[in-house]
Amino acid sequence: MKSIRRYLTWRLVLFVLFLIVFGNTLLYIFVYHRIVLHFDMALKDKADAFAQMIEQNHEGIALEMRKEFMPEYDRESHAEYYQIWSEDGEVISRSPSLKGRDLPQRAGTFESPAFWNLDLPDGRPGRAIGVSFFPFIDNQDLPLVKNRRNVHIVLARDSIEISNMLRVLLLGTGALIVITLTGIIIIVPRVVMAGLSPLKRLADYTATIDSLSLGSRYNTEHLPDELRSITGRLNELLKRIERAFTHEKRLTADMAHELKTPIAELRSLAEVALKWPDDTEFTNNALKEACAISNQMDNTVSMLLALGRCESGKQNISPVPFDLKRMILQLLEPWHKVADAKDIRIKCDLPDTAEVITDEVMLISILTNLFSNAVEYCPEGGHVECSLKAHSENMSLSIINSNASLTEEDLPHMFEHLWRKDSARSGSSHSGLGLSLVDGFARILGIAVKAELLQSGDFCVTLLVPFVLPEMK
Amino acid sequence: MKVLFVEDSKRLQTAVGKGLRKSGFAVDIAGDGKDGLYLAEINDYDVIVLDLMLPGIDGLTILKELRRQGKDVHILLLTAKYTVEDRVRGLQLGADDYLTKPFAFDELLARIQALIRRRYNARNPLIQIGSFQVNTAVKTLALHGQNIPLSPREYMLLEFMAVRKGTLVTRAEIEQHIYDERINPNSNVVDSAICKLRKKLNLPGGPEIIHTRRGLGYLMTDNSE
Repeated sequence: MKSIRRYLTWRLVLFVLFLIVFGNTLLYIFVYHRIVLHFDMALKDKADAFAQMIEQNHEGIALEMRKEFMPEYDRESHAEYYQIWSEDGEVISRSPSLKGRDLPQRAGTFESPAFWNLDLPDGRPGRAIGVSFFPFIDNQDLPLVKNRRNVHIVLARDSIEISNMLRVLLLGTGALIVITLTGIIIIVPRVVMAGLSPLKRLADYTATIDSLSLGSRYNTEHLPDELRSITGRLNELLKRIERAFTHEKRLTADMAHELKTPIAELRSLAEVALKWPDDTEFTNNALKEACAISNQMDNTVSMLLALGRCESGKQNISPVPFDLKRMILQLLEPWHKVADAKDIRIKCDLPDTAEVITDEVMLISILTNLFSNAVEYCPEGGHVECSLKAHSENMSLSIINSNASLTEEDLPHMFEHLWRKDSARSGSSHSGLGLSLVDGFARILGIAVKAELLQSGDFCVTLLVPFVLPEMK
Repeated sequence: MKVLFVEDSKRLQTAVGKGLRKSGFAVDIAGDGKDGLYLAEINDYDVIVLDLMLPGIDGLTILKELRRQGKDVHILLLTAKYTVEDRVRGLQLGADDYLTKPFAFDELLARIQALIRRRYNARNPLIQIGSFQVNTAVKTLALHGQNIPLSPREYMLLEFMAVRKGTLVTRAEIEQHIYDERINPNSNVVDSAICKLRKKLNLPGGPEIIHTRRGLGYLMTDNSE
């Protein structure tokens, strides 16, 4: 089915055509039978009349008929015919119109007479009735009649009138079919087209939607019920596409900023250093900054590649048993110096041992990002807390830091790629990929991650680290 | 000529600030939108180079605010945003030019110079003062085709007065446009700079080019009064 319009048009035309032809045929057959039945009843009435006129007496079988009452059997044109036989085949009587010729002999009973079509002796088409019966015997003759004999009577008359009526009926129904069919062929496509016009309007409107008009929505007010639910779904789809497009645009813009800004820095430093090569102090600083920029860009690209591997399922996992407590202490160690400089207190609540079997490198990456965020985003004079607790199937690790800027509205976006609270994306130590990577690695390792703002206003990230990598169970 | 560079990247501040100063501009630098707006409000800059994505107040808000206050300073937008809509929006809000990151320093310099020429209605970078010729594109002073060496500060003063040739320039205006925030200007500095420049422009038997109007300021002319 390539076109609903063609499909509906053809199906409707064919179906209606079938109904009309079928209905007219049934009508024709019904009327035909009624006419023939009516004709046959008239023949039967005549046969009845003849039967009343045939008597058997001691001399034999006789037809008591007065010709003046039945002139149709004795005229030249449009004559009717009858012939009467005794059961032994002797012709008892025949109509003068037969002029000595015979009618074909068939016999039924009065309850079930034989009717058939035939060619009349004068060549006209006709219809005949044949019945057998025992003729009437008068009571006076009853003792004298030794052998009661059966009689066959055949009456025939022309059926031209029936044929003409049936021809008119046939022509009438045929004309009706042709007229109706013509009407259907003209009307149905138009009706179908009119019925499908909302679909066309929908298609035309859809064709106008592009990346710049994703905020537009289908107007469902004047649409038929069948399309209203579809457009409702389409509007929901548009909303999702718009959201994804906005997200993608933001991602692209952020990505552009993350890469263009260091390139601009690198280029400006290099160009200014080359333009004034005598300024050795600036040149030396520019070279140092160039190294820092290349490291920063390398980190960004590495994180993007790692995220790409996470999302494509190509990140390799190498589970090994290790002590999570020891890992936490080792990873926190370098941050004590930074914390001291900002007057931040770091507090740990760890069990004696906490052995888990998971990918050590990926977990190090997760914890490094979380500790880095906790200390660097913690305001001066604040605190960072790290607590690890064992449960039946996992260990919960909570990293809490004082919070100065995050709000509840920020929480759903925190794990999005390149999201940063500072929309100006100032500073170069964070790219907005750290938490995305935490989320990506955590999914692979079966670690549940939850970010929340505590009642105290502190920011808390909780990891539920399974004792054993789920894939190994 | 004095330029305000509003940019949050420390490295770009260092590189562009250095390059502009080396090119003979007095440069003030702001690292966030709040400081940038404050400096633009209190100073009379020839050009403001404004990053769009800034902490505190974003660049477009600063642009709108300055235009709302009636400041007609030339503003060059500088940003990593690259779409046509971004550029159109910035220009519609009153920016005079737009440059996307990463940019060539020479292009930034050329655009700043073009904006300054536009400000002083000087389409030609060559300014003739008597027998001297000032080239604002390459920042040189020449006499009969021979370049006369000038310190960056002397050249800045020369260009500032040359584009205002025939117009009285106050000491305050010189302080505003020649000295950036790193130098605390005082009367002696301006007088000393004028004196040094006057010596280089005075030809034996030639006309006086820089004239002092006591209590008012200085005037640069082609001929002696």
